[in-house]
Amino acid sequence: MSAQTIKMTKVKSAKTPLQKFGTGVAAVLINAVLMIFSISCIFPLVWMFYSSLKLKRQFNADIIGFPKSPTFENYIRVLTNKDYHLTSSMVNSVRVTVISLFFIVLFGFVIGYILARVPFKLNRFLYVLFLMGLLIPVHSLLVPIYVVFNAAGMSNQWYTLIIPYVAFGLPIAVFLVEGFIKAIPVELEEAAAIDGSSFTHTMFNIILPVSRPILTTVAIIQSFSCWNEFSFALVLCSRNVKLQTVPLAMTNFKGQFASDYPKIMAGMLVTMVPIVLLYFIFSKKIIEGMVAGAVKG
Amino acid sequence: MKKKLLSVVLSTTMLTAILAGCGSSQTTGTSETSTQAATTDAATETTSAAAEASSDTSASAASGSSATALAYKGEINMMHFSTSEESEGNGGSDGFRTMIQQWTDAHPDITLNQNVLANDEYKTQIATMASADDLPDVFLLQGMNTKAWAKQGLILDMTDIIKNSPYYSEYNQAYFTPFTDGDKLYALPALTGGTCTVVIYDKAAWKKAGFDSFPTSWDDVKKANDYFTKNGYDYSIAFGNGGQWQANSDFLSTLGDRYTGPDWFQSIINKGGAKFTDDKFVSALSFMQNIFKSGIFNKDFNDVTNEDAREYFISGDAPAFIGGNWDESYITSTLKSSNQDLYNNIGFAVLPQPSDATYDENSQNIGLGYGIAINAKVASDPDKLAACVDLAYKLTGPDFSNYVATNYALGGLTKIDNVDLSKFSQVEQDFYNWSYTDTTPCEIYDSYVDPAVWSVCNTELQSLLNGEGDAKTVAADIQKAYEENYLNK
Repeated sequence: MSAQTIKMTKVKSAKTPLQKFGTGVAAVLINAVLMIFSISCIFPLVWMFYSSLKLKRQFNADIIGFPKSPTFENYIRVLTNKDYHLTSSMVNSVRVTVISLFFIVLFGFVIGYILARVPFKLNRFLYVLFLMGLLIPVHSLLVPIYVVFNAAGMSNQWYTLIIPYVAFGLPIAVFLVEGFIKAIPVELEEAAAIDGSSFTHTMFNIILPVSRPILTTVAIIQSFSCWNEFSFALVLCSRNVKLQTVPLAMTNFKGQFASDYPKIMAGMLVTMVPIVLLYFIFSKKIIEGMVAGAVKG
Repeated sequence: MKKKLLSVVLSTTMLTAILAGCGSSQTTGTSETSTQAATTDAATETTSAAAEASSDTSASAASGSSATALAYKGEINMMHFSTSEESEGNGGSDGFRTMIQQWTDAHPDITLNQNVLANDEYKTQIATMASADDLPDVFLLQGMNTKAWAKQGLILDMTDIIKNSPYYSEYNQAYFTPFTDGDKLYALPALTGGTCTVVIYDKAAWKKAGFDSFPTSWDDVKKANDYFTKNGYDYSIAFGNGGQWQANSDFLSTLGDRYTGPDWFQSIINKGGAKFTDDKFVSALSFMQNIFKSGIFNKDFNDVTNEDAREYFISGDAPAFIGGNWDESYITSTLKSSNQDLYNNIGFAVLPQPSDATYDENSQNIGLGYGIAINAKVASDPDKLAACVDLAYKLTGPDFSNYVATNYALGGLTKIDNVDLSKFSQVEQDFYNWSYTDTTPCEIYDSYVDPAVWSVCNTELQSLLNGEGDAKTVAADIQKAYEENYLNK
């Protein structure tokens, strides 16, 4: 063994220098495209930030350029003017979004589970009815809902917006949850049943943890939708400024013939804080949900 | 079995929650018809009540607003769009807020609940409330809604209230047109009268081009353009139609008056037989297409808004700009602090006259697009009505006009004599005189008829100015929209 010398031969790459060069160029190109794509995603935020440091006149004269003399005046004006009531609008938005999300996820899960697992006569009919909710244009319902809420004395209350948000959030939640639960092996529930688990116990203690990815997806989609919703907030809650949500409060920066965009951007950045904080707190769960959920990206 | 029952109960509960929205349209239809019928009856009844209340109120309101004269103690719901943002630098809005404050201070027993939204949102919300017959007690009525809402009995007939006003003789009668239906008046025109079409130009630059004042004919503008393009400018007039409404509000409305005269548009408003396909209106469209093709405007006029285009003038890239009074206030306030030379050389002019136009060459579209209207239901409570009328008088009377004249060199509904403009700069005085005394007012198209008509007009106009299509086709499309949305309604 010692007499034997093992010759290590250098394994030559199967690629010719030209091919190597081609691979390198392709890698650079792909990376460049991805970088451009990434920049295009992040640029609006960066642009918003540095534009919020300009005054209206500077912004109108040069929309893209960096501020020559950055100032925090917009932030001061946004935060000190009581007419803008940004703080209360953030509190309202957080309250409405959190409560709506809770109910959308809860009801969406229960209904989705029942429609996926319990066979009964009108099961498919109910499922289709829920899906039809996705097809209803919100604007066509503004006036009817306004009339109903007014007649019932439910408009301009702290809970007013939660009702339509939950109702309009349910179809997508039911659709996603039902599809996800159908893919979970039934044996899991059968095993639980053999161990003496009740229907509700199985639903909430066995299936709910397994469904966490899809519920996270539902929560992500719906949190954006509730946070950004404008039409119902305008029609149902505008009479009481104390109940206005962030999108409605943002309109205070607009005039009839002109808009102070830098101030709007300062306001938007300030009001983004809660949702960004929420993202950082739950970022791990959100990414898990995005990867495992039915709706990616 | 238990599971099945639970599942059915839960699912149907959820479904009901969703269908609550869908099913409500039926309910609305019913409630709308019944309330409409009720309000129509109410409207006829209320006229006499309103007249009675107005004669009581006019005496009390003679002093502007007398706290002791009002018997009403309670709440008044009011809706308007003079937001804090709007009032910054906007004289009409600032004056409006100031008058509201003075009125509420003078009437501590009355709680004025104000719902203040930005203009776009205001229009959406007030339309929703009108559809639901749930208008606030006092609100700003947009001229183009007058006829429809009057027909539905939603707004109070204010003819007697207005005629019994202590300031009636001082009102500028021309401003009432958008709020008139037949011989009835439905609102007191509010805020400030501002032009929608003014040529703002650099007097020094045009003097160099051989014109002591802005040319009165487009042929001369073209001659000046030859000079400008050879002397460092790319074009002569900056204009922005990126929002589509500018070509209509800031150009066509005045240009159309030059071709058709005021009677033609009155006939359009009153459904008197005039058509958008009439030769004279088609000529105006045709002229507009050609003048925007001629190279005197910035090439990107259809892509940029008025807010961008006015920067071309401010930065000195354009020797003139066409826009509305809102642009004028921005340009003058910006130049005052940034470019004193250009500020001192600002001049104001009406649109030049096309060679084939035959009507008033000095016209410019000016008016009050919104008026203070009162919900027809308020008439059932004469004390409350008297308070609402008092508020309306205050917001449109001499106090308001004096405030906006002395602080902003602007005019309102009530004419005031001997306005002291001495504290204003020459430019501000020039604009006041140009707006209110030196020119002939004509109507602002989109204060009337139906928004759907102007939506078609604005879209088609933008294409026309891009060189697509022809004036006759555009006119036919506007006429079609007019017939569908206004004439046959």
